[in-house]
Amino acid sequence: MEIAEDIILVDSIKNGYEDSFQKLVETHQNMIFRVCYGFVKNTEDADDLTQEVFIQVFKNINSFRGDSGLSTWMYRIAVNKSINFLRQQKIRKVFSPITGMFSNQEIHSNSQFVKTPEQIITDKQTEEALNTAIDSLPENQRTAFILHKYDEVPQQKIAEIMNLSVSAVESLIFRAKSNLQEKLKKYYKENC
Amino acid sequence: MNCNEVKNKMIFFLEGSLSDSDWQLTNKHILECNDCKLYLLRIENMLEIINKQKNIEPKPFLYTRLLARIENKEKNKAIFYRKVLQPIIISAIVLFAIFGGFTIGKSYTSTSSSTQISETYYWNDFSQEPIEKAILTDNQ
Repeated sequence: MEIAEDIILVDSIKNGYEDSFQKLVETHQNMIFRVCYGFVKNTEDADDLTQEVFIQVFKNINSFRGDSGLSTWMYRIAVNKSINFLRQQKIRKVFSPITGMFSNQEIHSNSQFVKTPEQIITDKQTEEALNTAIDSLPENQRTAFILHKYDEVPQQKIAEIMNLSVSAVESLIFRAKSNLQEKLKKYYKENC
Repeated sequence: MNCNEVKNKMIFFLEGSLSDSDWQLTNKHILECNDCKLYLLRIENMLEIINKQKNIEPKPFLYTRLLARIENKEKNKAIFYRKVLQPIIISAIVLFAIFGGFTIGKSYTSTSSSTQISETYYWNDFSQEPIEKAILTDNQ
């Protein structure tokens, strides 16, 4: 059902209907943004990457054959773009340590106004510890974990996106959670 | 169940993905152990952070910004073509023309000179009709 709808939507975009592309963007922008954010943990960069994903979709729409679902294809693009972005960022950080120091500093204003400064600092530290722990996971574990946790993508679909079996995805998510727990345990042992 | 085992199961405990017996044992331990209780709160806080991050949305008017970006890219492509590619292509054509001219010119000179050499080399005055004979023939 989803694939039939996708093909109709894709065909109309191929035929130059701008409204269909707008529909595609508006339907999928939040899911793509969440995945990108899960990787980069920065609103600006995630927004930028989301746009990049749609630009690539727009450019390559003619190569979409409908073998997999449209959202699966777009998830793949989002994951690849985010991973490439992080790789480039790592390289940039190596070459310019000063820029690197400021690139990840983001203040999340959500509900911070009701918290005390100490709570805000603790939350910020906790968030940083969590982000560091997620970032240090092996690439495939991180991808499976982000898709599962940030976008609640079903394991079957994650398997399609990552070209793996469902059991392999299940195992990746389990290992990701266990590794994360191990890293956080270490963090609390050292810092609390 | 010791503290380490309980801590290793904390995420699964909070997600409710443990088996009934494991859940009971973990729960019992957490109720009795202050250290694990504190750790549970921390992990809960972390999962809460992920839930908060999940709710962050892209900035408004993404589609409008996206269209502007696509148009900009097209414009930049045109500017890149006009300012960078065009001069490169024109220079390449000019260089190619100059080089081609030299090559053609060179090959032309070398062929004509070799012909000349061969003609000069094989020139045989005796096989030619003497001028006197030609004058005589004309007179006749």
